[in-house]
Amino acid sequence: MGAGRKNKLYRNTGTNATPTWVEVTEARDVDIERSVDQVEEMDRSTPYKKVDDGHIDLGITFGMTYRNGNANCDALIAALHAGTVAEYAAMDGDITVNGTTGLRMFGKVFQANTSQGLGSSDQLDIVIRPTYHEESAAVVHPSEYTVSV
Amino acid sequence: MGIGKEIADQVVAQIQLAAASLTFDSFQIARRRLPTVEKEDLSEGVPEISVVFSEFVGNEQDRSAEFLIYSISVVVACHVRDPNGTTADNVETFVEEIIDLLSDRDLAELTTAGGDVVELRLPVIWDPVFDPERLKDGVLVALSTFEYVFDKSRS
Repeated sequence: MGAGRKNKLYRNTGTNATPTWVEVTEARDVDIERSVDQVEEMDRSTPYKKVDDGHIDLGITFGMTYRNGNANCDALIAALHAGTVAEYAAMDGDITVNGTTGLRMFGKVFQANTSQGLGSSDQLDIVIRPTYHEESAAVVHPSEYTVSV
Repeated sequence: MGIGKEIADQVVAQIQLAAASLTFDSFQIARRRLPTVEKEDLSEGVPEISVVFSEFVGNEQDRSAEFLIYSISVVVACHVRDPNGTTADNVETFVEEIIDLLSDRDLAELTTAGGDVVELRLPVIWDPVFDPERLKDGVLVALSTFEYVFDKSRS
């Protein structure tokens, strides 16, 4: 059973083949989004609506504590402005531990909203969606990644 | 580390620093666990301020930090001859001045003796304005509470 703080969110400052994982310790609630487009298939042969699977929609969305000068905050905001493609992993534990599992994907930051509530701490709301990325002339697709060490 | 008591000490220091600008520039003040509110312990017309570290609440902030919320109560007690007289009026004004002082944006952050920075979270609570039962005995007791937040790393 995963629980809150035991889960870990990472961004990769290395490559897919040789990653350098930096934990986003400032993360609060993290949502790993997985859904499939529903493609309707209807004809006169049946009154029942049928659907088939279309494209898969993935995303990693989360809130994080904003702190001035914080490396993770700065990197994610900069990635939004520059359109930077980076690899992210939303895991159910430590990524150095055998058996830890989670969504791993190359993506871009599509949202980095800052909330400066009067009676609350500053928060960044981040949305990351998968992006096309090649490494060594091969496409790197998103994956459900299980650590094997 | 004792952040709670260090915050209370800083509140004492800030009130002492501002004494000359307050309605009562002569008063007694100290950090205490039990406020001084008994008539026999008070001098008539001289406010006694007790600054009390009264409550502690932890609030998980993110995966590596926790907000620690320290409540500091400022208890002002004064022996007054007339509950509706000028001295009682001045004590209420004095409490308002202390609230304004500590709530000012310049004091939005306090640095403790240990170097920890805590932030005041508004609003300040001053409810009730005075204790009516104690006032019947000739002591005006007013309690206001300030919440200070410390961002504690848990990584």
